Amino acid sequence: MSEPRAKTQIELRGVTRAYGEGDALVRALDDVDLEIRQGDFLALAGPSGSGKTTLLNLVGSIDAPTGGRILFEGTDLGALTDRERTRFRNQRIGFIFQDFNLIPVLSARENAELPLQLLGESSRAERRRASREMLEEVGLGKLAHRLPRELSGGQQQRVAIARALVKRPGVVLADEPTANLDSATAQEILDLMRSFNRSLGTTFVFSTHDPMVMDYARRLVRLRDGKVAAIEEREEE
Amino acid sequence: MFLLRLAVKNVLRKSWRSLITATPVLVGVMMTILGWGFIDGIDSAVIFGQIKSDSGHFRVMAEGYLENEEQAELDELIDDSEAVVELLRDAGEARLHPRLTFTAEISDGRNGLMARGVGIEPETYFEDFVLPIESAFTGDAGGLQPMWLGAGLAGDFDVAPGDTLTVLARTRYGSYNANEYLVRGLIRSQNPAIDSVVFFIPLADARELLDADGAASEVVGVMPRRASAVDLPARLAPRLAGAGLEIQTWRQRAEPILRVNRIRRKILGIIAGIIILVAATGIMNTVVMAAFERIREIGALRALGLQTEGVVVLFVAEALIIGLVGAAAGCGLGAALVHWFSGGLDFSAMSDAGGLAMSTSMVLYMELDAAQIATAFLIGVGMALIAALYPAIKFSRLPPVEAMRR
Repeated sequence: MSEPRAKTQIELRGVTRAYGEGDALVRALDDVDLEIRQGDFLALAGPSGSGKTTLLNLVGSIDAPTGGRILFEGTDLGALTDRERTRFRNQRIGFIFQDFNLIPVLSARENAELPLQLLGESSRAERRRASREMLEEVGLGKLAHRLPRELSGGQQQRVAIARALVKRPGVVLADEPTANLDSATAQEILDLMRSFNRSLGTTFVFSTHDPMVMDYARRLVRLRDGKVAAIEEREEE
Repeated sequence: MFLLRLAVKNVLRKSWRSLITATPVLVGVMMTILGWGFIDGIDSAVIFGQIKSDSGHFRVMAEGYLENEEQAELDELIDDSEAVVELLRDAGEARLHPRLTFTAEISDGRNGLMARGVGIEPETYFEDFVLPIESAFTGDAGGLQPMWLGAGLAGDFDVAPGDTLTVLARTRYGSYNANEYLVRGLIRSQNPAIDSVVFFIPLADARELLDADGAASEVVGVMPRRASAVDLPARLAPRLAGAGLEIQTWRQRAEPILRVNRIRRKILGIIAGIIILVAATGIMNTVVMAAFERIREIGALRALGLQTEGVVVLFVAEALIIGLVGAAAGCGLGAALVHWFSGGLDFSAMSDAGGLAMSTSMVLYMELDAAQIATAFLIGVGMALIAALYPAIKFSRLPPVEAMRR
């Protein structure tokens, strides 16, 4: 008997993101339909320019579609104001960027604490405890005081993971999270992401064009020229 | 609070650039304080010099006297100075001094010089006016009348207290008269208009010399401290006009210099404005540079949930910190310099060299004014705030995805 299908968390309906106009019109995403389920560990794969980053940006509501709708747990992201979208990102989504994008003047702990600071709902003590715990979980408890420049690439990406997960978001979006890392470190980061996916039930959506990274995904969405070319369900390793 | 801490860290991240940006703010604020102190010092010097060494708080003279005052002609005299003193008895508790001013040649027997003689009542006059007698002769006058000589004039003759000088003057009726005087003291008032050309003799002697019994060029009033002479012209004008007299307050007398100072104040304002504009441009430039350098960082912060106003607050706070540091340092330096100059800035060498004969002290005393320092501080900080606002708002509106793509 197959397991019951997880409920849909994010739904893209005919989503299009076009840039320019007239002859210069480029469709980075073209009429994409996609469901992302609660607890997914989903990879967006495809060559450069296939629309992976655009799709992540739209799901993360840091960009808006020019056509179609994106429903996040029933909320139509297109109906939100800029202020509401910002609040929504802060509360519901964790981001991991290819270049880590840590704030250089903040220590590892302060970087990890940043989303809670911006959320402004917890006390200083609670924020500190949460960020320290998160750094412990990513194996950087002893380096919490270090500035990003004092950390290796892998360590910086761990801080970024801690930052993404510190507020326990429903979804973590990671844009080529291992692109700037060597393969051993990349595997460590992917293991870490997968362990959080399993232990916390957090949905992970990440983009890649690295076959090794694709192998980690339970669902693989192949994009080509802004369209979904294939969706592959994978067995857990 | 978090944004403020982040702003402090960002300012310290490029501490040299922050310092360089703060420097024009410092200079602008310091120059503003110094300039105000300087102009106020000149105003005070004019007022002090005018009142305490020359004009008193007001002067009453015969109508028409002012037009030829520089020539010190004796055509327009008050014939009966006692009557005028009586007329002014209720003029704001002023101490009244009849004064007879005339042009005379003084001679030591070999050389002669044109000078301005002033007949006064020495006992009361030297009490009410600040005319420090540098050195005085206390020996036997041998029947000679006393004279007090401006130190500069004495220097021209190379005379000292105890020496004698002859004064030759035209009487009120045009004939010549001469008298010999004993130099009783040398006056160094810091007012070059007095020190270099004026000698004082007793009023009675001057009247005798000029054949002007009971007359005076003017009756000068010195008011008690904090009393105002401003309303005197309006109060006394009808009474004086009936007697063929007119009144001039110290402010009216000093008006040409005060007018120049008002122009100086405006010029200073323009210069300070230009410096502050340069500082504002520097701050704006720094904010723009910082925003371009950290544009991906701004994108990341926006993606993580920082609202647009948070970005504005961050950049404005950074500019404010720079502005605060620059303005505080400018206030500190400006105040220190003003304090330094409050002991007196001596321009007498300059006035001697330039042959200036202004009726003002050549030692400038600057005064530390807390309100001016606070105003200069607020100008510095406010300018930083305004300069940062536009680029901060502009960059805050950049969509996060676009910011992170750069």
